[in-house]
Amino acid sequence: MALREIAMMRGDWAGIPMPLADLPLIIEPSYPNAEKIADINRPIADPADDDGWRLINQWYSDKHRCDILLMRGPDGQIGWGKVPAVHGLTQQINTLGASEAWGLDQEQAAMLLLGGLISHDQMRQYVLTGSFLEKSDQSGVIYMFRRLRPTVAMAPDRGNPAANMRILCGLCMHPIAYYSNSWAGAMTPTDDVVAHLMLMRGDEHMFWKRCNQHPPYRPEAGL
Amino acid sequence: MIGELAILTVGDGDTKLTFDPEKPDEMARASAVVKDMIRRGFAILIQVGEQDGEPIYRRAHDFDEKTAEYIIAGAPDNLEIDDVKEPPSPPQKSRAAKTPARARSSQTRIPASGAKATAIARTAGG
Repeated sequence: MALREIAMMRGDWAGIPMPLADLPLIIEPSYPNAEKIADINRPIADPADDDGWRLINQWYSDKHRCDILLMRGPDGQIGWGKVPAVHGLTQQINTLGASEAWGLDQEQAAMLLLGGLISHDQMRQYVLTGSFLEKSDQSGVIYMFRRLRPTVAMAPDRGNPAANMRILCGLCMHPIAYYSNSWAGAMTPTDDVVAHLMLMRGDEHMFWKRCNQHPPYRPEAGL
Repeated sequence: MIGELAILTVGDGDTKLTFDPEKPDEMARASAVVKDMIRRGFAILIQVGEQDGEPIYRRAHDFDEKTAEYIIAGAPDNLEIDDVKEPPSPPQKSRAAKTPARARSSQTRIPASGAKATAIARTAGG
């Protein structure tokens, strides 16, 4: 409550994100005091742990189905390695840890807000499964809005519309901030769902622009 | 009629601002907050109607603090949603970009005292 009062006094209309130990906050850079808030609880690097290796480049390899790291050692030698990424268990565990930042009252308020925005059937699906579907009248894209996972965008296959839907990508975004390497935002899970839904309905182009678009085969997509 | 703006916030779920014409001081304060939110890059989505029982929303591009009105790009006719059936690709351009130049240059004003809206802060990706 104290954080909320401070936020309103300072004109931080969307509140102040809650820093958590072991889960770095990634805050929208223009948000007031973003860097200072992100620095709270950030682990201090011990120079003794520095082996001198530095990351030069990192990219996703379709062939190896993982990220490839290119490194330079202390003597100038070049090395490379793979970052295994076959599942999203790390993100799931980190998301569990982030639940410390949310309150049940806030989540309930968000559920009430969502209940006023979607149909009874959609709300029933959301309460029972954590997700619901909605088709955009503007683009024809079908969205699967999910609690604590990126929204899945799907469309009929152009060549064979009668066949199964094709997944376009997982759309991930969190207002203000999110916890690194997790699917958790600074806001309660259902507020994130409300943000996705409202932006999609109100300005679909902006919704896509503001989201990170994760390919369906990446663990970050949560599929 | 009293207008309402729900701000998605950290900590409280959502905070509500009200626009009650019978309370000018409160309305002036709420107007200043909305103007500041737009300046800070909040997306403010206004309910402009209903289709098949579901609300239709448009994003406010600006807010007139003096008259307490949301400003939406496009003429009132452009606020109606077309019944586009099956374009299977993701949206590439905004609706405003598809409208004729004359319509695009026009604006619609929606009094905050009669509107239901939701404000979403700038996003950090994910």
